[in-house]
Amino acid sequence: MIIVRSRALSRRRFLRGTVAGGLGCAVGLPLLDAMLDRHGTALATGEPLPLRLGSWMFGNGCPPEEWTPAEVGPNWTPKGCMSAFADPIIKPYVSVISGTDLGIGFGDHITSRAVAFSGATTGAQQGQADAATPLPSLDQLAADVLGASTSFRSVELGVSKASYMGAGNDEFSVAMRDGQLLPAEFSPLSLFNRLFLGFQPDTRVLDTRLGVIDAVRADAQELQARLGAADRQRLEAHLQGLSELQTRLQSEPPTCSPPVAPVDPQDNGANEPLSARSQLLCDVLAQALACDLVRVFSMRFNQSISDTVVWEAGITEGLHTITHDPSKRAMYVSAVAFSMEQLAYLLGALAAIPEGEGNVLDRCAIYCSSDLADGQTHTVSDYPVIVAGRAGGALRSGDHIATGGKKTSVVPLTLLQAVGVPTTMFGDATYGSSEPLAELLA
Amino acid sequence: MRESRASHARAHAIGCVFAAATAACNIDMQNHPLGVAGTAGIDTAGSGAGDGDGGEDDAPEAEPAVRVQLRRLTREQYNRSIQQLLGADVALPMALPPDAVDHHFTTVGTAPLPISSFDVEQYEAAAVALADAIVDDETARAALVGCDPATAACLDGFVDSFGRLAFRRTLSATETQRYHDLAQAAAARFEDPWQGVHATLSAVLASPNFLYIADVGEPDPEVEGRRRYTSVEMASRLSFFLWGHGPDAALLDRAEAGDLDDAQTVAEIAADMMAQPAARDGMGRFFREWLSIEAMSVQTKDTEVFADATPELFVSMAQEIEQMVEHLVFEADESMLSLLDTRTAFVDDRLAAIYGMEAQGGGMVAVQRADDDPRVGMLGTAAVLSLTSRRARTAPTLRGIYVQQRWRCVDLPPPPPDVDVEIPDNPEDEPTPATMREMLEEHDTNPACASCHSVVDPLGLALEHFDAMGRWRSDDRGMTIDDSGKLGDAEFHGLAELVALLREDPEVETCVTRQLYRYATGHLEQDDQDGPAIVALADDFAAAEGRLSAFVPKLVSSTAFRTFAEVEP
Repeated sequence: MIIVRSRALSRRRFLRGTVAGGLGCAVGLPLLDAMLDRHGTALATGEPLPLRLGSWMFGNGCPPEEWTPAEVGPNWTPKGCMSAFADPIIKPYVSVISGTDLGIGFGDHITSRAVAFSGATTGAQQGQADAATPLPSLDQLAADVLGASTSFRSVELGVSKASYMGAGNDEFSVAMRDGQLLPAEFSPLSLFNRLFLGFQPDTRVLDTRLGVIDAVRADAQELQARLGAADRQRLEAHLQGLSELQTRLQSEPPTCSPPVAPVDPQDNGANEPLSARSQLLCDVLAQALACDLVRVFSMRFNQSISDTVVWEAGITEGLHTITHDPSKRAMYVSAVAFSMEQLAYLLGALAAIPEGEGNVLDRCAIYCSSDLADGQTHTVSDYPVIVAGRAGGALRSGDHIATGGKKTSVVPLTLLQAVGVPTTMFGDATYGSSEPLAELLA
Repeated sequence: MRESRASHARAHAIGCVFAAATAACNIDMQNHPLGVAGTAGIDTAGSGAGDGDGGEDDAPEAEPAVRVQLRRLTREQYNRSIQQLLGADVALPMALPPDAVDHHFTTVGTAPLPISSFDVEQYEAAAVALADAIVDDETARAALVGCDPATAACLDGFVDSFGRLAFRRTLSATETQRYHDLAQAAAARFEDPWQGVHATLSAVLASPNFLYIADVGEPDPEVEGRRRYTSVEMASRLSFFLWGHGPDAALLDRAEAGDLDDAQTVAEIAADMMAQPAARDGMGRFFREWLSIEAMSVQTKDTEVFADATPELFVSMAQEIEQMVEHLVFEADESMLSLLDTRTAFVDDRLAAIYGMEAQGGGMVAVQRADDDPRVGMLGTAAVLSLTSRRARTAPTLRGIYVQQRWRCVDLPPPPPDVDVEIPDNPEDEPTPATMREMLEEHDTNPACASCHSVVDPLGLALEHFDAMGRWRSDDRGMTIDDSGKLGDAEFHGLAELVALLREDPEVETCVTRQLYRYATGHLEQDDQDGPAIVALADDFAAAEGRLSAFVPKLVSSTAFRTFAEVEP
């Protein structure tokens, strides 16, 4: 093993060493000691250990009677939807924030999803100058800051592709940027390949690929000159993507050697491989966060209004259909509990990776919410919000905090500030917040 | 006839609005694909897509959508283009940016989508993977290039011809120089001329000139302030509409000679193009999207209620619709409206069981129905009746929406947000058995529901003799079925009378015209801009007796298809 302890090891140098030496090495996670300072509490470069921010969405809300814990404070008992958080390792990291309100009166899934994750509605207010430009979601705000120093600005993941009943696939994430939902990655293997194998050690191949992208960029610039303002702007986003791609191709490869590549799970008959896909994606994600390839993620377990069939919980009907049937409340609880199990899996995976004096989850701030409160009645008060992780000690965790009617946007604001995003406002003037939730801060 | 169209052209959204009062409508309309024409899960604010979760365009007064000059290829268009360029056998990329659907059509929904970094990354990765696949395969690469790329003339010539097909126009001098340099540099660096081919493929297939259809246009010499699509742009407009992929070299030759500036020539070329096999793919996609044929093939039902609801059965159902289109529209060249009242069914053993016919054995065969058969046309197929039902019961509201949206272009807003569900999904869960008409009564009596439901429920209730799989039933669990219905002011009984009304309904002609126009242009018409043009085109459609072969040349040579309003600089 070529580890030079006398000085900090650059990532590229490390990787060249392993590739050139053909070691087929399996350097374990987390960050190699050589990348850390002597105490293991900061990067050897002097930077503090990274903070991360993530969001997790489950579509179609939850039955409030089986969501909000009865007790306020640290000694809350998980109800049916949250039974997965009873795990003694995970529960101290989970805070339940109850009693917030989106402030839009009622939810229609799409607008309420936007308010829950971006603090603004989606063009519903006609006549405003920015009506067609909904604000970015919290993860994308974080990506602009935290993502600046990693190979990947952010990753967007999805588990269920189910859309409205029979309406084909929905492959969009819950991350919002430029007035648009970003597409989601569904394949654990593709995610792995992008994150861990995307660098190019052969300089001839690398140089040629960079030259190819230069040619494409020149094409885009020439095309841009022929277009009207709106389409010039769209192509600008294309150019931005090309720049990011070139930067990434030239960036230093992962400090951690790639873990074992996952095998993509297959559909089980007509059923989606929900838990397998979710857990494999989360395994890769956890490794990527630990390796500091990316610091921001969004995961949407299932999309708004989706008729995901949570067959692994013994359910044969689509979730959205179930939510609107009062006789199927128990099934509804099981379905939400199942998606919370998948979140708990991610939390467990992050907590299992040591980092500094704690673990990776200690340095995460994860916001979990939905596109509605109660999916049956489309309420948006007493909104379902969970916060997981401690943001390096900035967040209090493990509490049930009853907010008594604060705007839901107070939570994303608090998380953004906790991970060091210098923002004083999250969302728009109507639904946004400018004061953090004091009870959530350590 | 014209008056009726004109009155409707202004606002194809019907005047139904939901009241703020608490309503107890059922959820039939809500959140079902047939009640949703907005983009699937995305909210393209400002594009005219609905922001509700159940309605069509719920903001009919929204700002006019800017007509995009840069239309993103749909996945289908991308894939067909790749097959056109690299051969039908090439392995298509698995990971591509998703399409969006607007008013049933991916061409409308995807064209204006913004671009994300992840999209760019996926396009680039797909281009590299395709280049790998070709260059690593000695047979495929030799077939593609057709000469020895070790000679500069061959490599440069390949760049020129491949680039022209992929960019759907001849490369500019700057581009030619750039791509020649790129290819030669890669070939030299690797000392392998095939790496020059690889670099060319990687760049061309990741270029915005391939990934987006540029509709920049030029000043229209006939009308000041108007632009027309250039002859070369017209070639792509025709080709993506009719073939599903870009123009071939012969079409580009004519385009670059300026032939497509002339409306009559455009009509003639379109007629020739429609006669080619690729037209079945390109035009076939229109029918698949308009009628939701793909959704028909992947339905699921409650198998405790319908033991025969196998995946294979739903594939058969969708195939029947495909066969109807193939037989009536393409082979027999009949009116598209004959899809409504055809008495030719396409039946295999699985469908025969649903239709109460004798099994024929073997594959799908055409069967002529009797003139007094209550089952008629595509609305009477198991595919449509089943798609517009729920898992265990019928859904008259969904059936009504299908008729109104697909055949009459009626936009419906989402239901009130605070609807209370009263109808159990499974009839066996009902406290007291009741017919659908009884259960949907509140739609009629509660004004908050009635303004919309009165437009759709009476259509679906008339089809209650067909169960949730499309089987005929003489009664509903012993209860008498009242199959009376109402379309506008016209009263009728049962499917056959409904279909007869639709065949005489001028709105249906206008609507089919409108659907074709949307798909072909990849753009949602604006009432104050191209609305009148659609009314005029509907007369052409009527004059063409609804025949696609006669109408499409009219459509593509129309001013509305060939020109557009000046855009802001």
